[in-house]
Amino acid sequence: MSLAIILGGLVIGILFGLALQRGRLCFNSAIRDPLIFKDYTLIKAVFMAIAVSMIGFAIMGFAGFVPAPKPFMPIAQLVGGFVFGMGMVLAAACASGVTYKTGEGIMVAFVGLLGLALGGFTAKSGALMGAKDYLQNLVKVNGLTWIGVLDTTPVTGNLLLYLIVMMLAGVVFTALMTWKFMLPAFKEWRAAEQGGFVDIFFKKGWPWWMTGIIVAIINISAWAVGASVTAAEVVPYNYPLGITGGWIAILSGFTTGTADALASLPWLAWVVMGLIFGSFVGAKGAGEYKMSSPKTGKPIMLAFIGGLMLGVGAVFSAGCNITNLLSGIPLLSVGSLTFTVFCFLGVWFMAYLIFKVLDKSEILE
Amino acid sequence: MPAHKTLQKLGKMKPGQVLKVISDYKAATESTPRYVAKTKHKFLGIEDDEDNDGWAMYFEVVK
Repeated sequence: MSLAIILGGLVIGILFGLALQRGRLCFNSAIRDPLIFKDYTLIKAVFMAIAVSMIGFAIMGFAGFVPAPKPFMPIAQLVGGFVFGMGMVLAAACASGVTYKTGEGIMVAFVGLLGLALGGFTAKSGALMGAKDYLQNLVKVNGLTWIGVLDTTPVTGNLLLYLIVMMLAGVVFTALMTWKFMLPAFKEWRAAEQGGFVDIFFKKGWPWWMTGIIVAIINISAWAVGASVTAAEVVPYNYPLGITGGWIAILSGFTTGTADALASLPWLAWVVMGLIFGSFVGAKGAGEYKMSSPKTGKPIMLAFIGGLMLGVGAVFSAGCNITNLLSGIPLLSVGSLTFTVFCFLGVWFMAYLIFKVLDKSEILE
Repeated sequence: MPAHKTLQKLGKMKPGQVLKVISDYKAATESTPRYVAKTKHKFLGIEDDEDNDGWAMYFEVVK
């Protein structure tokens, strides 16, 4: 039983949950809104978080710490990403979304969370494990990045080029997001905002650029703290900031483990538990906490099915939205980009089907 | 998904009419006005709605 894992995981998780709740950062909304509502507010927060994270990872890399980029498994990431995206619309939330919304009291999100854990466990160790292995191994290139397969061999490898490209991409992307989008938004916000520190951080919803930057800082902190603490946990793609792996570990630890399950939970399990608590604190502090349920039963059933799809999609892809977008893309993983593309397509397909073709948006929560 | 239904309802109402949308999810009271801002309709404001333990948003139809 490691106190470092428990405390470190909880602190990162609580901060992350607080940021997600205050920032209303649900990736389902972020990806869906440009298509259905022509609104780009949340996707800008996501892009800002990715851009700043890139710089953070580059700095970590130059300081000597280079995590393994997620492998390129195009078939698994195509299927997994698309299924994950569709599931996001049905559950009205992504993996981090069902987690932080549970903390807000949204019971439909809790149902989605149960689906996430069950679907994930099934794909990782149960009936769909064979399908997962098959899809992943059809085409698999470990360490494939924008500059080719990462080779960290000193002198003859391409580590320096990799880190330079990462830093350049991060700086350019951050500069673009800052000058073109954040500065005008910041000026407008500054002129209109009358509140004090407590008001801005704990009573009102955060502006997108604040959310993006803070999430990036938490992301890098998770790596700084988590990677050193969890060196003993040899699960290479359970990155220190993640969701699905945490819930799968809690589910399997208690249902199939032994009486000391709590003591032997991995880092991510503490992160996700902290996440719910952090979101709860954020909601409660702003007077937004309410145990709520939908008026009809359809959203509940769809949230469960969506959750199952989130879990299966995430495990097939070796990562959910958080690990792939916030860590995988900054690490220049081509596999994470693949997941992301098909995740977006899955969201847009299902959202377009339900909102426009069927005109039945009321079946979602 | 009240936001989409809100936009559809506004599209079917007459100019000058006001639509009251009740929500018990604070985040929805921030995103719905943002979506409506993309249309011609006006966001009139928001107030606490104690009867429904939430908030009431008001939108005016503009053609």
